[in-house]
Amino acid sequence: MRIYPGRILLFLLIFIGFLIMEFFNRIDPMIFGLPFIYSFTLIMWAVMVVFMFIGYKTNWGRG
Amino acid sequence: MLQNVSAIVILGLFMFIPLCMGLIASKKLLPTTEDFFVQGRTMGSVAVFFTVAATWWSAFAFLGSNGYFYAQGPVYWTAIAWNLLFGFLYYFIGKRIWFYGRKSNCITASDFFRKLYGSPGLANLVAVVMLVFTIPYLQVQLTGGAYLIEVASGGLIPWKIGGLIFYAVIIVYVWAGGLRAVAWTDIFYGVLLFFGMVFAGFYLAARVGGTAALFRTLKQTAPESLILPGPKGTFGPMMWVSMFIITPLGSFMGPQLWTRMYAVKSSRLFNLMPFLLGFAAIAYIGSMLVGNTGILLEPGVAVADQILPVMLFKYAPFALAALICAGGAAAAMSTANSQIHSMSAVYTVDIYQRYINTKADHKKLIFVGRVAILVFALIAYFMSVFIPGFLVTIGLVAMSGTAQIFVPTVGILFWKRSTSSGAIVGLVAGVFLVCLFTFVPAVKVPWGMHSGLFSIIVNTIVFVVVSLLTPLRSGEVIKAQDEQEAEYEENYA
Repeated sequence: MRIYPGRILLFLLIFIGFLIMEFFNRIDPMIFGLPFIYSFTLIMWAVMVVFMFIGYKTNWGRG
Repeated sequence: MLQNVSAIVILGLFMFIPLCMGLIASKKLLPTTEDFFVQGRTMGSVAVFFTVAATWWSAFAFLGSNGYFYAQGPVYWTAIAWNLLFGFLYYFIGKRIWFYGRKSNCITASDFFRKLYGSPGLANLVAVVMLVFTIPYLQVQLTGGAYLIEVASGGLIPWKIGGLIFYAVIIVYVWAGGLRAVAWTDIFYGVLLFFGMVFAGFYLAARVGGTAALFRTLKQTAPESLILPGPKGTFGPMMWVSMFIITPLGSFMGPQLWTRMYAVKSSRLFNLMPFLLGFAAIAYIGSMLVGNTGILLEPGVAVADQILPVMLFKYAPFALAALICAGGAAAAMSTANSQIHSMSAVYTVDIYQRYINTKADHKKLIFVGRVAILVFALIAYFMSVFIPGFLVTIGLVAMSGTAQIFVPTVGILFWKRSTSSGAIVGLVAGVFLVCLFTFVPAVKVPWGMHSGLFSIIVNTIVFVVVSLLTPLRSGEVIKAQDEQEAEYEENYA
């Protein structure tokens, strides 16, 4: 019995995103009125949702 | 009087609408086991999203999340990450399971292991682990759902009666319509539970001046509730990571999710699910607001999981409180109906058809599946009535137990050297450790880890070592998998 550079890049970005989400354990600065641990994780969540949408639109980097 | 009438109307509709949806779905039922258990592998995108989301968001997600934010600090906020991980697993692992399931006509997880490992022993072990660890989790749904029915009715319906109603409704439509009825009702339950979670959070936060005012006040009065490890100092960064791994893995490996991988119509739907399931995590903003508002408004609630109903019935109109509690009961019912249905499939296909009556026809198997639905529901009900305290402990290990199946699943999909001996010894080691850490409190988990995560690490090491020390699977089994993998790579990857 292939490699897809787009897929490798996308998986790498998602892996790095999870690593980041998992010094932001603090209250200040409060963004969106939320403690920093909440707002920072929420911003990262939004970035990851965009990655997941890109995955859907590009057949996960395979085209 | 008016309060009683509104409670009865809301709960009546809550029971009646799913019954109607389930009975309409049953009109489409074909008389085959494949249609009853996996909807003939024809489930479309709307049903897949709602039935996967509503099945995996259980009473734990609805009541437990509020309780965690209320009593343990922000550790449950890792849920927005584990929803993304769950969605990604559903695409990356789930699509492969769907493919092998379709090629080999699998209905249960055991079918998959029997086919790919060529080992009846491993298949039977997986069936036992799934049944043993899913029954208590089902019982937890009943306890949460029946409690919410009691509070939503203003005490008119005691929880023991609420539990009977809870199961009677599920049994009727699952008996009649199989997986199709479960999926259709999950659309109703899903909408109700997402509405309940989000609306409750913003409504209650408005009682203290809104989100910004809430956290400004908490920063002054209870700053320890806003950072890890929380006010009691027990849920730190290691637990944040552990819960992120164990919760999605445990749910993903439950029998109800295997059913929802086999039943999907098209491989393209798997590509979409990470986005939809990840986006749905926005509902946890509601739980986060409920728990943190509770710290300000109701600081003395002894049972943290009850903070949402306690606040609703104090600060919201009765009808609104009852409606949101019905959303919580929907979270419990949408998980319970799926668990009862999938456990019935495990009994019918893995035990009855394979060992009791190997020549049973479709009609007989569907009848046995329906009786199994009734029996599993009754077992969970009587367990909740007679041994509730003991089962709460078991409920905590349920997810860690099913998560152990993840190791042999990933092993066989991505590592040719996997052997059934490695899978069996690793699985037994993982399950043994989960039980040891739970039932022998003197034995502590190293490095403050969650017992499920530590057990998975040991399970993986044992799986790899034993696989390397034991003979390869038969050449025939490996060759068949290679051919199928080439087809997957070409057409579906």
